[in-house]
Amino acid sequence: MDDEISDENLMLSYCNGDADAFEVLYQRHKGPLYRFILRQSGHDFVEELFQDIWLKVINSRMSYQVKATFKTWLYHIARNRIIDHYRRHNLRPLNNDSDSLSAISGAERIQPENQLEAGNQHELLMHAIAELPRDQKEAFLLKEEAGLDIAQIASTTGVSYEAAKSRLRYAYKKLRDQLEFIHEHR
Amino acid sequence: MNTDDEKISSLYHEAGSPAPSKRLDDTILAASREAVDTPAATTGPFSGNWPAAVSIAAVIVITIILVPVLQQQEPQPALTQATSETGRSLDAPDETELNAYRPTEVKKKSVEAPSPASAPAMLLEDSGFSEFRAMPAHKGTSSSTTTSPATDAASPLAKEETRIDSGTFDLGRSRMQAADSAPFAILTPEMWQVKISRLITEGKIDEAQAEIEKLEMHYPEHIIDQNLLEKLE
Repeated sequence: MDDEISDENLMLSYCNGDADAFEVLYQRHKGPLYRFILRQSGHDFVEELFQDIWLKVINSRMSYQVKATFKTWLYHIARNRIIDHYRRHNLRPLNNDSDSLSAISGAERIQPENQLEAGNQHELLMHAIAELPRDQKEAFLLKEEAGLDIAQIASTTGVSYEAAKSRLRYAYKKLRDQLEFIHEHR
Repeated sequence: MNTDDEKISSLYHEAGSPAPSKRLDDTILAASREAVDTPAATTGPFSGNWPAAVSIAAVIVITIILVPVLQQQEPQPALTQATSETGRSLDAPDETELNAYRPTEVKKKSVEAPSPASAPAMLLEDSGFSEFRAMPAHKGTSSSTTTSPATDAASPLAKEETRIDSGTFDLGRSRMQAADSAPFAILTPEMWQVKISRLITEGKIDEAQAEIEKLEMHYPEHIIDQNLLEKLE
């Protein structure tokens, strides 16, 4: 029943005072959004950021207009909040420097020999994702967690369609290469 | 997305799905309900639209300031109506009438005017006393002191203006005619005095006295010319 109502209509219902509509919306998006934040900021900040983002959604209800999909709007807010978080904590600007990504995600860089020892493919994938350049990781998470297509990723991140497509392609290629490399060394 | 990418995708989703804690869910949902339950605190008539509120306030303030000022500047309704009936301006005749009542000032003004050829003509046209030009002039008393050679040669109006400047034209008489023909409502104190002066000249003392009483009643703050009162006595 709830799945039949679009996100946009639920948000408009919430704007008109229907708190139950917000709960449905929250249940739909809380998991993907939580993981989107977690993969980028680590465990230390995920709850704070997650709460802030939803409070922004709540406080923006009076000015909400259906100009794009709710999901695009939500992840645009989330992305801005994460960037702001980096800025406030002097963590790092948006760049392609993969060396500091482990620090952001809280994951430790795994050397190939250690990866072989780890043996868990899922865990290895998570480490590989943590090692992705930030813009590629963001594109990957928007694709896999939020379910956005390339055009929506471009819109959310403020880049061209081609740039978004390129980031996504490089992200998958790097993950593939990492996993193949690990597989070869097993 | 090729098959390798799909493998990565499925592997990623198999890796586990961490989710927010129950406490976090409750906090956010409580905040969402609280925001909806107390709309008045955050949603006033102009909340989120302060430029509109400022604009409306500015319009109200300007209206309050300007309306009394504009009302003060508007002419009295009776005078406006009279003006529309006669097709004359109230401001210009007042000045002309005043000059007509005091011919010496007219002369002085004309001499001092920077453009004697045009200024009196303008004065006459503006005041609506176009009959001045049709009335015969008294020859032999014109003066060339206020007329330039250029205007003498170029414009026939210049000759008439010279006659006016020299006092050959009977302005007082024309003013009295104007006062007679004017409706009661448009009589200014000066015009009224012209009318009274004419009545005195014609020996209609009683009528002049009655007009003075009317004038005093209509313009209680106006100071009647002392010469006029002396003539009446």
